[in-house]
Amino acid sequence: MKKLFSMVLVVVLALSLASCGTKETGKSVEEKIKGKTLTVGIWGGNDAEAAALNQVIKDFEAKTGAKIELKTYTDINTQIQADFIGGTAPDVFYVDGSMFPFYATLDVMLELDAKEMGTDAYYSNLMDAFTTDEGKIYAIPKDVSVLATYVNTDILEEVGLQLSDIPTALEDMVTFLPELQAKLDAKYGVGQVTAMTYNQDLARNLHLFERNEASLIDENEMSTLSSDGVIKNLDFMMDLVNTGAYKTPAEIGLGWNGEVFGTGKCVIMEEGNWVYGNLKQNYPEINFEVIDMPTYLGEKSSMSFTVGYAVYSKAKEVALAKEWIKYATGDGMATWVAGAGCLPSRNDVATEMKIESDPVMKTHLAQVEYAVPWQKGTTISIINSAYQNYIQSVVSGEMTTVEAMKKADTQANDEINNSK
Amino acid sequence: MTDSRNKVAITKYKYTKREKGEHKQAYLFLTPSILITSIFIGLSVLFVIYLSFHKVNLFAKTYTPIGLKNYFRAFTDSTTRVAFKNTLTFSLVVVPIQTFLALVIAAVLNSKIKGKMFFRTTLFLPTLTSSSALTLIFMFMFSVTGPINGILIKMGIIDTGINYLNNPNFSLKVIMGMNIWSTIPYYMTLYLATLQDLPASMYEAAEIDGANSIKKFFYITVPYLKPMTTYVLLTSIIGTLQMFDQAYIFSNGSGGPANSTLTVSLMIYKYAFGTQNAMGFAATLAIMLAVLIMILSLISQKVNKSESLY
Repeated sequence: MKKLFSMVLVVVLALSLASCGTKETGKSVEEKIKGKTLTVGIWGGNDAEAAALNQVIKDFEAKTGAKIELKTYTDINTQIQADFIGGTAPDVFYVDGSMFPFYATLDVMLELDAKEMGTDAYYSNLMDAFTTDEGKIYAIPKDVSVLATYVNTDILEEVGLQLSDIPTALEDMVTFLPELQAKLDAKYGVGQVTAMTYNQDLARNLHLFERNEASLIDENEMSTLSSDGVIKNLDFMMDLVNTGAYKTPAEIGLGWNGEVFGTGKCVIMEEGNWVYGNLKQNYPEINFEVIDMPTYLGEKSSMSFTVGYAVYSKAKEVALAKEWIKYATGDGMATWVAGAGCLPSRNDVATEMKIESDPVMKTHLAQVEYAVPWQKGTTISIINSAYQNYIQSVVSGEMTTVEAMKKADTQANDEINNSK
Repeated sequence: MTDSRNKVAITKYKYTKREKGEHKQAYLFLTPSILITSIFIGLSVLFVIYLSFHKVNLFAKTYTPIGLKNYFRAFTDSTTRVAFKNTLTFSLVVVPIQTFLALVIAAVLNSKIKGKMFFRTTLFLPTLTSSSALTLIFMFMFSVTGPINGILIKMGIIDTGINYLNNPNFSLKVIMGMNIWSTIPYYMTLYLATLQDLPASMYEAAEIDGANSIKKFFYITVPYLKPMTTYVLLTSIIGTLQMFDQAYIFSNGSGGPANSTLTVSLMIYKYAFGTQNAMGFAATLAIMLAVLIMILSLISQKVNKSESLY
């Protein structure tokens, strides 16, 4: 027994001495991170995304001698919350732009230094999406995706129209879409091909609804869907819906816009750049052009979706975490965005990658700067859920926009109050 | 009667040394499961009760006592009322229908019809499929351009496809139909197993007395299956009141359209794991649901009491 005890003591002493050794100061970052392992929390994407990320990891490991371990979540926003509570979240993790304000209230992300991370290089509206109102930076945008308008040129020609016939203002769509629909119905039969698709989702509608100083939330982050400004914009969207030529993929009986467009069941859709690779791969026979999103009330606008890298506040390898983020959102960004089919979150990478050489990606990229990032306080997911809950009743004609949105407001605000 | 007699017997009986030793052994063997149950179920239940009286932030590990505020809110909140109404409607429609149909199908399959094994096997297939896969299949079948609408249009019953999935008047009913269809076979199998023990002499005696097959079903089969019915009712009441996965997949987690598929379990999930950070309120709803399930189970047991049999 005594022998065992002394042996344990020796081991403990040896270990503590060894750990003292590594805490030596004055070492360069390269030496500090060599041989260390960093866990990175991500959500699973398609094969192309996985391959691109693995390539970035390989390059990083070769460059630094550190090791990256991935922790792939299937439903990150539920699962990572459990990891935060248990204190076992990965050192670095993806943060969706729309979830950022919520995570920022939880104290789970390490504040990052603007100078150290070189935040000037990134598009400022994306950087703002990861900065709190107090000016604290908690994440660095790793990429961005932007909506653009996709037009099926084959069908358009079949009904005797050209790309230039498509109005550039959303207001003109109210008259254009029914005309196009009439031609489609004559050519393909009633209900076979829809003129344009849309989504009943604030992630897609936010940029329209907040026009003319309207806001979905008030200063206390309570839902204001039924405020005059929002209702005015929503009424306009209903003008489009009421043409009967503006439908959701669900109304057509399919899963999402890309599927509707790819199977030739709609002529126009608004989608993010992720659909581009998908169309090329799954529906190669479809010929299409990509143009800017239509203007509304005389102004250009679109939606952008950004994802950032954040460092866990209890991360073990902070130095390595920062190095990884700098690399993945710097030298490694080109590899990632080219493989994953998204857009770089910094202009220098976009120029270096010659994104402009691809007309489709060029159109998407051109809208990054004025696109509205999908983010709105900590309560937006509740409000979005209430909106989706009641918008259907407006479309079916059971309720007016005001009635439905008042109900949505009540539901959302009850929910917000219940959590207080 | 039997209960009180047993009690009297126990108080008078003195255990021998050997029996006492055996009891100790029994407790020893039970210890692991008692430990595991008390830690993972007992403590969790206590913790949920504790949470329901607090405003909880699990991230910061702060628990602020707020008394009955969560309960007060749950009782006054209109969405909670909708969720309980949906859940109860779901249960009230699904439980009787699936129990009755399972009984009838079991009785039919227990008779001497041809292809008995074939029917038993094919009917059991839905139970083997995962309910999330079934939900997706049903969503496809009931979509605007799906086969159900296709058949109805061909038959001339409707002109254009009905959007079952996005219409609040239909959405919950589709889930009800799916649930009934997929759980009947499981209960049917339970009934069938019990029916194997039913002595044929009972039917013969009834036949001699001049009973037709409907009478035989109601006066022999149904009463004989009563104990099993109690079990079937209990599990299906609990199962339907806790319905989550089908509503979650169907509505993409929102409980829509117009809260028509919002069940209590789905609401608990939304409050606990959404961006609401409201574990306390979620715990309150969970306790209310548990109490409701207990009450309904007790009522169904009382109603279906099997004392008249013996």
